[in-house]
Amino acid sequence: MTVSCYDPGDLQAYLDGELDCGVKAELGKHLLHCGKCRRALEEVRKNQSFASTRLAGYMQALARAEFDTGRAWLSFNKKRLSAEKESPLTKEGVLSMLSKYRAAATAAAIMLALAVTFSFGSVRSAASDLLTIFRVEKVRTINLDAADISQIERAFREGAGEVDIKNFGRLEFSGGNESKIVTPEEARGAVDFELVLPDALPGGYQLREIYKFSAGHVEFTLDTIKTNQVLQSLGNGKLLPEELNGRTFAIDSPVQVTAGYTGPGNGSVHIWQGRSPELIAPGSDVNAIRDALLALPFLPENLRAQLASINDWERTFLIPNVEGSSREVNVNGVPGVFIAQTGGEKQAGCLIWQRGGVVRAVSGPVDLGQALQFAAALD
Amino acid sequence: MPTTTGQAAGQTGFRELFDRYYPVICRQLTCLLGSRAAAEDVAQETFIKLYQSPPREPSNLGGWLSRVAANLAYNHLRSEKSRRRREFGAGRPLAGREAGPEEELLRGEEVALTRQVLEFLPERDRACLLLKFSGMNYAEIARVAGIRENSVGTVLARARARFKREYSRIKGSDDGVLL
Repeated sequence: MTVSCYDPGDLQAYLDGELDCGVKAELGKHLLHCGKCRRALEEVRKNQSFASTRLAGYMQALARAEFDTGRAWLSFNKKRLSAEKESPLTKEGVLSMLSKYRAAATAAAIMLALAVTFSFGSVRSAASDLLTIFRVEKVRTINLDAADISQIERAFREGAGEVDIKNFGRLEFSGGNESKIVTPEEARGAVDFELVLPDALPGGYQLREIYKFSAGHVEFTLDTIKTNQVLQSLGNGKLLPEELNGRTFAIDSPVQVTAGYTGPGNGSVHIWQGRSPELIAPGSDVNAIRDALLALPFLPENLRAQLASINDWERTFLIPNVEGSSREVNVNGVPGVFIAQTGGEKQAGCLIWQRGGVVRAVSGPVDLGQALQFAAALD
Repeated sequence: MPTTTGQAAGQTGFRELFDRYYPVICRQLTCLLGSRAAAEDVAQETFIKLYQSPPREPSNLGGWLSRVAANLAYNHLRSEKSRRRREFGAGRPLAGREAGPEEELLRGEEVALTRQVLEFLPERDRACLLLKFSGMNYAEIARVAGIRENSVGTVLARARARFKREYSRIKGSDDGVLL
């Protein structure tokens, strides 16, 4: 054979399937004729299997015991606090990430957020500078399946990398996003509704700590020129009217209180309570925005139909139901939504409902039955 | 509206993310680092990173955490090299060290020998071996370990040969008695 022999590195890459097709074919051909390389390959293979077998046993022994997540969380919090002293969090920090993650963890969430925020179907008669205030009065699910989501994601990837809130207008935050640990008395004093803070929850959960999140205000000023560019790049025929340019929408979110409970096996359950956020919007022409959004060409037909059929836009908080992960349930006589979370090691869920202008949520390693028990203990 | 409500849910949700992903990341890191204690340290660092500079696109959080953990793990492997030098002298096995909970798990001749051999290997060999074992391809190993992609095969072949040689040598010399 005229082709020169291969070194162990090439043979290793050959075994690992890491060679380019051409080189792989050449090496394969060479092996047919070269006993020396065949023996070398056999040696590499033996070493590989020897090391892998021992490593596998070793890793198995190491991973046999459970990791103590509860203890790790405590130590994480200490580290977090000292890290925060060195470099305080910005608005772009984990909270905004989490809110996106929470909202749906898919591009569909961006679309839905816009659709909900800008869609006020039933209010359009008022004079142009009249302000209208909306509060959440119900929670509803919107059904999506994996095909719908990938259709939307594809459109965003191919059509417009610029589907970012910054390209629709200007967003300003004030207040909010500050959290601190408070006593039950302080928490009660901070809200104007009756806070429910039992010391224990069914199933052996004990109250651990209470956080207060300060009130926040978000203003969004629409830039129709930029928005229309994005809509056009997404293939929309329907654009926003110019007179909407510079209109400001605002969301006020009142003080919220979260109580953390620790239960068996270091499981933690959180109870969230707060007044419904308020949406303050110019009362006219907003249906033009809704129509433009509903005309987005990549919207799956079933989603478009569901969105268009919601006639109480301004008071409905939409929760995407991806592949049956969320469903509408009855919580002590009022409608609510249960979201089952998947992807982690343990089962987890979140139950949200609204009564008398107060939104409450329970989340943790719970199924619907347990979540309803907690809800019953609170209402 | 979904923004604010989602945000509020998010504020309570970090603990939940932690509960869900911490064991997953620890298991991955154990494979990368070959030590539970080191895995837990690096897992902590990973979540601090998540807390301070989360990904812009959160749809694949598991994948993001896993990548960040791998990068931090390699930094750890690098810094551990100097630590091991200080504590044990270059290449000396763990003999004489007090048995902690981790050692408790590592009873059994084969497992104990594997640990000794891993301690003995040069740092780059050891890192590539563990990274490969954790399921990375050559491109990823090259990026994390800071070597050229076309040297990965060579480093791996050599590391595995050394592993086998050292394992047999230690097994022969002290008949596998660790402590």
